[in-house]
Amino acid sequence: MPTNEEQAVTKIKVVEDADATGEVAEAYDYWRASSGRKKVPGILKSLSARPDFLKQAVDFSNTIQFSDGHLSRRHKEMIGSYASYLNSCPYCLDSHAFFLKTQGATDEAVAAFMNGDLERANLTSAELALMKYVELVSKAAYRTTPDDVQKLRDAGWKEEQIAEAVYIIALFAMFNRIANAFGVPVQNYVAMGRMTP
Amino acid sequence: MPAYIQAVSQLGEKIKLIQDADATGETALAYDEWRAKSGRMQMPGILKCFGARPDFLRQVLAFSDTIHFSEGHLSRRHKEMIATYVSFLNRCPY
Repeated sequence: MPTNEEQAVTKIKVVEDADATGEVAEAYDYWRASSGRKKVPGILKSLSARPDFLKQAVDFSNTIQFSDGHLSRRHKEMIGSYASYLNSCPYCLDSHAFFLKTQGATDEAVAAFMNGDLERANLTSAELALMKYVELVSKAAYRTTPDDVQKLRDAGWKEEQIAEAVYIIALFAMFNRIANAFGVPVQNYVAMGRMTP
Repeated sequence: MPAYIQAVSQLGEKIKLIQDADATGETALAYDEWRAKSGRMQMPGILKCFGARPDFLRQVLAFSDTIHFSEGHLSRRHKEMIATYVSFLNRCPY
């Protein structure tokens, strides 16, 4: 696995920061202004073929993932980390386990999520029930049953929280596939203990 | 469609949808916006799945138009080929 993303090449070509012109440069700047950061992350460069879609992806990610909703941001990052583990997406697993840490998770819990070892993640029974559901939907949504959803209600999750969990699981199904199809190099946020600027 | 895929939609209600008649507030507004734009009356099930977050529903409609329901680097026809085959592979009868 490449550790230096400057030297790593993706499977499908993307527009690098320095090479961006026109609409792509404008979309990259749109992300820089919204995030306050400089270096466009690989997952967003994967969308450079459609800068109009890139800007929409920045917006809907802020709406549904990078904010509290019916679910807390912390629970969303748990969902994102575990879905990325199940979908074998190293790029998203690393970045969202790091975001989980910024939401107050211990180093031990972050390490547990990085290894898909939820027994060691110090989760409540409600959180474990939610993670079990993440597994069911990620592996085979078509196979889920009314009873699977009832188990979440019994664990205390409200209907709109379950609905939002599904949006997040689906969001990661999408971004995990994009990151893995492009071969976006992992950023090693967890190991570095920080994001790239 | 093979019976094993058709059967997926016959498992009964799982997560509750906000139906057209029960929508209030922002959800009702987002549903009305879709009706006005599409010229249709009844919300499709896939969009009612997003009733819990009408702000996200609006964004889903917008990016679906941008990337799927229009010509891009790929033709709309090739996009529908992709969507149809992916839905077959993912066993999504809807």
